[in-house]
Amino acid sequence: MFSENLSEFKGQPVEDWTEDPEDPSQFDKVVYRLRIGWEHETTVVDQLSALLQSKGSERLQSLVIGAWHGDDSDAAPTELVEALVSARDRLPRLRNLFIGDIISEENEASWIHLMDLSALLSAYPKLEHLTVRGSIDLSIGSLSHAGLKELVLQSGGLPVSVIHEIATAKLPALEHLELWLGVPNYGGDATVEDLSPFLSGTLFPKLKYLGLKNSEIQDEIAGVVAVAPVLAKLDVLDLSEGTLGDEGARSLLGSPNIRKLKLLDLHHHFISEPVQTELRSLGPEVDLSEKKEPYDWGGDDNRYNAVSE
Amino acid sequence: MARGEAFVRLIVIGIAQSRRSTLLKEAAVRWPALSVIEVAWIDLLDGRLDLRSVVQRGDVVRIDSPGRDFATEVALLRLGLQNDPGDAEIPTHAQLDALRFERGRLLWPAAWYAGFCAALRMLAAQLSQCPPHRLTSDITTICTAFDKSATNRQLAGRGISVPAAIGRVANFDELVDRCRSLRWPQAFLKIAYGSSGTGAVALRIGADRMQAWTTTEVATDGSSALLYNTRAVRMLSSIGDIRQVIGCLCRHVVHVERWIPKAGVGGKAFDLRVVTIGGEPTHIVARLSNSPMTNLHLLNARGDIHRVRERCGEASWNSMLESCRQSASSFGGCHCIGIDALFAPTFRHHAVLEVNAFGDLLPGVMVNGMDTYAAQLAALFGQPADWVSAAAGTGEAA
Repeated sequence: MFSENLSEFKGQPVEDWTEDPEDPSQFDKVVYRLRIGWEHETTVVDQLSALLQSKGSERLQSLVIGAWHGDDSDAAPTELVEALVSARDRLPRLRNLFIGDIISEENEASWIHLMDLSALLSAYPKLEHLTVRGSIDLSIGSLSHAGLKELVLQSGGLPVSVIHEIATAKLPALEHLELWLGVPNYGGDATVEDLSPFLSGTLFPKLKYLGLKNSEIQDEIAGVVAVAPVLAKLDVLDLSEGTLGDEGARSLLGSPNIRKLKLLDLHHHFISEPVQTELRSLGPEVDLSEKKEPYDWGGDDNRYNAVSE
Repeated sequence: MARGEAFVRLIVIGIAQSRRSTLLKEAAVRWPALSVIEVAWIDLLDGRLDLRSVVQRGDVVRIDSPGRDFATEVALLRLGLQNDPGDAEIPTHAQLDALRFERGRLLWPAAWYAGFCAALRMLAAQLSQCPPHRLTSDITTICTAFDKSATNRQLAGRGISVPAAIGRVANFDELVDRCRSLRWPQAFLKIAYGSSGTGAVALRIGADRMQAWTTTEVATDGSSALLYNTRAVRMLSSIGDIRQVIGCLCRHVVHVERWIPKAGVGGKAFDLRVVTIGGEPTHIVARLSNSPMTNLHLLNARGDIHRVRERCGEASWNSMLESCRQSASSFGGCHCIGIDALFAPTFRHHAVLEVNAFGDLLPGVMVNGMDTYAAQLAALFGQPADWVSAAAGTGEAA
C-alpha cells in the first residue's frame, strides 16, 4: 500500500502548490504537486490555471498530480487531463509527469479511476517519464511516442487490456518499464502468457529496466523471465513487491543471464534464508529487503503482494 | 517539596498492580517526601471503602483508569444498569452473573459508561465531604472526555479543528445515507464511549462498492451482539460483511465522523499522541500504521517526531500545538490529558481527534529525563530531589 506522498520526484523536492511563488526560479528548484484534500476549497484544475499564470511556469519540467477526486472517490481526472492537453504550448519543457500521487488514506490504489491518456501523451511528445497510479478505466490507446523513456504503471490490479496496449505501443526510446500487476480481485487479470511480448527483447530495443512486480503469480513470472532473451539486455530486473518465494528464486538462480544484471530487485518477498544466501552470491546487487511471512490463516498459500487494496 | 518539608500524600484511585500503578509508583520514588496511597476502584464500587475515611487535609487525589480489570468492569456494568444506560444494548443481571472473562471482549459500552459516570459522581459526593484536598481530574471533565460525540462538539464549539461529525447513527443504512448525502467519501465509526481504538471501523464508500478496516470482530449469541477487539486489522470488501459488523456496533452507541486522510512519514500513515500537563504539551509520540488504525502500534520513535516537524515546518507544528493547548484548556478540569491529533497529507492542516482523560500511559517516553508520570509529579510537587541536585551539578547542592 502507498502510505506516504512523494517528497522527491526525479531528484527534486516535491511541494504542494499553494500560491504563486513570485520567484520564477522556484520552477527550476521545486516540483509542484497539484491536489485537493479535506482542507481545500479549490480544484486541481484551478490550481493548474494558477500555476500556468505564475511567472516562470513555462520553465516547469516536472509535475506531480495528487488526489484530484475530492468528495468523489470514483472521479477520474478528466477535467485535469483536458486542461493539461490544452496547456501543451504553455509547458514546453514538461518532461516528467506523475499522475496519482495518492496515498491509501486518501483513496486506495485499486479505487483510483483513470481514463484514456493517449491525448495527453500525444500532446507532450517530449515527455520522458510517466508514472500513473491506479488503473480503473486506464488506457493509453494506440500509442506511438518517440520521447518516452520511462513508463511506470502502479496498480493494485493492472488490466490485461492495458498490458496489450503497451505490448503493441511504439516506444522506441523506452528504457524503463515497470508494471505493477496486482491481483485478479482488483482487475489484475494478466497471465504469464500476456507478459510474453515483453520477454523477447525485441519489443523495446533500448530497454534496460524491466519491472514485472507486485504480483500474486510472482514465482511463475520469475520462471519465464529467467529463461527470457530480454534478460541479456537488462541492467535491472525488478520482481519486487510480490509473492516471490523459493520456487521463483530457484528459477532465477538457474538462469544463465541473471549474473549480467547490475541489480536484481526482489524486495518484499517470501524467500527462505538459505536461498537468499545463494542469491546474494550470484554477483549482481540483490535487494532482498522486506522479507515477509505468510499470513497465519491456515490454508495452503497465504503469501501477499504489496499493493492489492 | 524541599527536603524537610512535611510529607504529602497522593491518593491514587486505580487498579492495583496495573501497569499504570507500577509506572506511577516507580516515578514517585524520586519524591522521597511523597507517599502514594492506592485505593482500588473495586473497593470503592463494592462499598468496602469510602473516600471519606481515606482523604485527609492537604492530600492530592488522582483518579486513574478503571480499565483492564474484569471485576471492576462487571461492577461498573452493574452500576450502569441502575443508572439509565439509555437506548442501547445492555446486559441483564443474569448475563452479568454468568459472565466470564474473555480476552478482547468489549462489554456493553452504554451500560459501562452509565456505570462509570455514576461511579465518578459517587466519588465526587464522597470527596465533597472530605477535608480540603486537591483533585487532579474533575469528574464532569472525565465524563465528557469519555464521550466521543460530546468531546467533538465541545472542541468544535471552541473553534478547534476537528473532523466533521454525524454523531450517532442507528444502523448501517442510515450511516451510508448520511455519508452519501454529506458527500463524505470515507468515515470513521467508533463506539462512542471508551478508549481510542474500541470498536472502530474505517469505512470507504464508493458508487458501487465499499471497503472497511476494523479491529473488531463480531459474533452473535442469541439476541446479543458480542464484540471483540483484536490486534489484527481486517480489511472487509464485501458489503454484506461490512453491514454485519456495523450493524452489530450500532446496537451499541456509536459516534460517526469524517475520516480525514492522515499524512504519512517513513512509509506509514501516522497520527500523534500529545500529552499535556497543566495545559502545556510535554510528551509527543507519532503512532505509525499500515492501516487507518493507528492506535495499535505505539512507537516512541523520536526521530519520527523530528521528521514530522521537518516535514510540516515550524508554523504548522506550532499551530497543531496551539490546538492541543486550546483542547487542554477546554478540558482544563484535568491536570493531564492525552490528545490524539493528525496532520493532513499536505502537513499544512491538522485536526484534533480525541481527548483521553487517562491518556498518559506512554511507557518509556522520556522528556528531560522524565516520563509522563514523573512530569506530572514534578508539575504538582516541584522538581524531584535527584533532579534538582543533578541539575545543580557541583554547585551549592554539593
